[in-house]
Amino acid sequence: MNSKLLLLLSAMSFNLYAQDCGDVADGTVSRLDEPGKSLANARVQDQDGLGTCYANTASLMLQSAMPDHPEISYLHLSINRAETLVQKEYRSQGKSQAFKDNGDLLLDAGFSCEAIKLAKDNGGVCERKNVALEQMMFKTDLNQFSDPNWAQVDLLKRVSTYYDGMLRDFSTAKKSGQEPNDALSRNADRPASTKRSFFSRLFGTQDDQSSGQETIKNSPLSRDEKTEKFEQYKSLLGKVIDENRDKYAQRKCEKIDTTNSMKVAQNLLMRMQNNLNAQKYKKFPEMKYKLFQYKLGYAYNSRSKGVPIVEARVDDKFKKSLEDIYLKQLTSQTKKPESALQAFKETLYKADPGTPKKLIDDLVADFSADDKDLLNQDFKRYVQKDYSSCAPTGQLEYLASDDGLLKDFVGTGCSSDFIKHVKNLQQMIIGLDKYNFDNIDRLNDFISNLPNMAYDKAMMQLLAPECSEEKKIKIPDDVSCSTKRFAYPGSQDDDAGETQKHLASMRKDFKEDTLKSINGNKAVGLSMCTGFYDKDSTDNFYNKTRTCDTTKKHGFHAVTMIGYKCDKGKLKYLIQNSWGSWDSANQRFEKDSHGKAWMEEDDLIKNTYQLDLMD
Amino acid sequence: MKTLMFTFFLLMAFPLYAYEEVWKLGDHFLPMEKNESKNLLISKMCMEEKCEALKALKRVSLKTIPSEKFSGGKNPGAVICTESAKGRIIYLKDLSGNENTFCAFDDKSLVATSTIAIYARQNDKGKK
Repeated sequence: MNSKLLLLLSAMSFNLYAQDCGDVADGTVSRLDEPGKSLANARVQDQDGLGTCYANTASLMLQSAMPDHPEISYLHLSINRAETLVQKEYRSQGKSQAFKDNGDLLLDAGFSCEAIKLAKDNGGVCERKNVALEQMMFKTDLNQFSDPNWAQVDLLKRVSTYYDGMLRDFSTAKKSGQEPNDALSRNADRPASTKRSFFSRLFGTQDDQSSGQETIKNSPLSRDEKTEKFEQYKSLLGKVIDENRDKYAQRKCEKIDTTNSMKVAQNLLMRMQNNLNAQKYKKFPEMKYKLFQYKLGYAYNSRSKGVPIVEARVDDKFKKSLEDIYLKQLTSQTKKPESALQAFKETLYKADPGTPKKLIDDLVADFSADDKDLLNQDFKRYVQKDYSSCAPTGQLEYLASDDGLLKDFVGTGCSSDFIKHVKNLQQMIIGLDKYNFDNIDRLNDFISNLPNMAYDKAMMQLLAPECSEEKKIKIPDDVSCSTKRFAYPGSQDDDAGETQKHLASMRKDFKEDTLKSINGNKAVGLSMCTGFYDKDSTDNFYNKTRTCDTTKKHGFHAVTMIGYKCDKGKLKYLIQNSWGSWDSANQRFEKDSHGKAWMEEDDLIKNTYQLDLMD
Repeated sequence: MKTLMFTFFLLMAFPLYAYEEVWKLGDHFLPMEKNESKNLLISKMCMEEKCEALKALKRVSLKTIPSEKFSGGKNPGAVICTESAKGRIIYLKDLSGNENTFCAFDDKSLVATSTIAIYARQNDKGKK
């Protein structure tokens, strides 16, 4: 009797769950980041001090619609969109190129579908690996500890300084008609920061002053004179760079070294140590890993520039193995390895024949994309004799060094005002990071065309030098995005009757739209007020109160829905944020992996004001 | 005294669920103390000596930060870092390539921005 009762209760509870989750059976979990699904290879992003949440979301939505392209650049999506602001809003108001009045960058705040549509109309979107700005933050050094600015914002400021200087002193776009939405008009009318124009000083003219704010007027120079001056500057700069870059590149690339493979070995060492500390090894006895780790090297605590660090000291014997086995395979004239990764694996096999190959295979399978990239660079350099990823490093070192370009440029005896631009250029290059911005040809293109370039073109040419029109990921015609706005009916005091009816209808629409999208392997963009993120903010539902930030803790934000599940009768949605390891910052939600959390349907419906869906 | 008690509380909490986890800044490995149950990710050095990151966790607050600073869906922990903790943002990666922002201080100590966000809210709750 008891067992029958239990069975009946179980059946009833199952039905109850099923009803709450609609057609979704209890226990169902569907997520786009699992193997075989559209976002299996998508990474969690961190938008830093930039207001690019809409673009972060747009990048994931696009990736889900085009799973063969798991690395779409959110910064390209936002910069691409920012140009429309320059054209439509800011140019006529005379504001600066890269910043709004409140100090926010022009690329802050927007909508995901709008960003996707603009990218589609403008020839596609860049891959993340081709956008130096998105990469540079992770390859800088310990000097960052004394850098007072946001990483990305700081770089954009440096670029903006050079861009503005070029426009101010050399732009002829308006008169030449090279660019219908010309740069000069916006430049001529806008308030300057603190600087007088280059040519006003060069020729002794005074800029107008108005109520403590300097206004840049058009240069007294004619179009021809400006063109001539710019040509002088350009050809001198180009000549100095051209004469020196080849010897730098040659010296660097011909030398065979273990720099990249040593980095990979150090990463492997530290990864093993992390996992041992976290007690994550289960497949093999921990001691086995520990013993193998000793074959590779050891770690010890130290300081560098005052910063506590852990040094990964690769064992001399293994370092020699890298030279004798790894590099020998790569530079062999007779038998070429199939990949540098394979050659590295062989080196690990031979470092300790007593270690099971399966263990090494598992370790290699855990290599990060950065590790694989380092090994691929070696393969290109030593096997294919392709110096494209090696040479630019030395060239860039030359450009950024006081003993390099600047010294040679001063040595030409040119005017000090030209030198000012070269100094701006040098600062810009330092900011670009010598290990990421590495295409000198594109720098030359940038220098050659800058005065008459549009905002987005200039930014992308410099900050994404590898993203040419040909390399852009084209967005197919059948990939498009549509927006559904939610209009929560009633007010705070109108909780019953019609409001509840509308809420039920919204809930139905929300569920249908989002589940259909996730079932179709497409991510969903959600524009919301984040007031409910706080544990105590259960009453702060945006759609009910129509206020988002009364506590100054939250604001409008875009996130991405990448899954759903029915958990004990409750439908929950998997939300991927763009705040790095945001998962640990929110106690209100059920945690998932890094940067993701499960949110209940009720929370989302009451706080989301817009859905962006890939069609 | 309050600071001492706060530090004592954190130190006491660590041994239970804490372990060292190394993160990367460029090519450098930085040792962190991770405590999953406390949602803490902070410089290892803070376990051994007084550090600015730990002091910042005690004082951070959202109350004095203008709402417009959060516009565009910025990472709140990152905004709190610069506006309230008076730190600087530094990007690190874990060894799988996942990215995360940390708040850096003059004494070279670091704390994850997600940790800062939690403590700011907790501090504000306590000040009500």
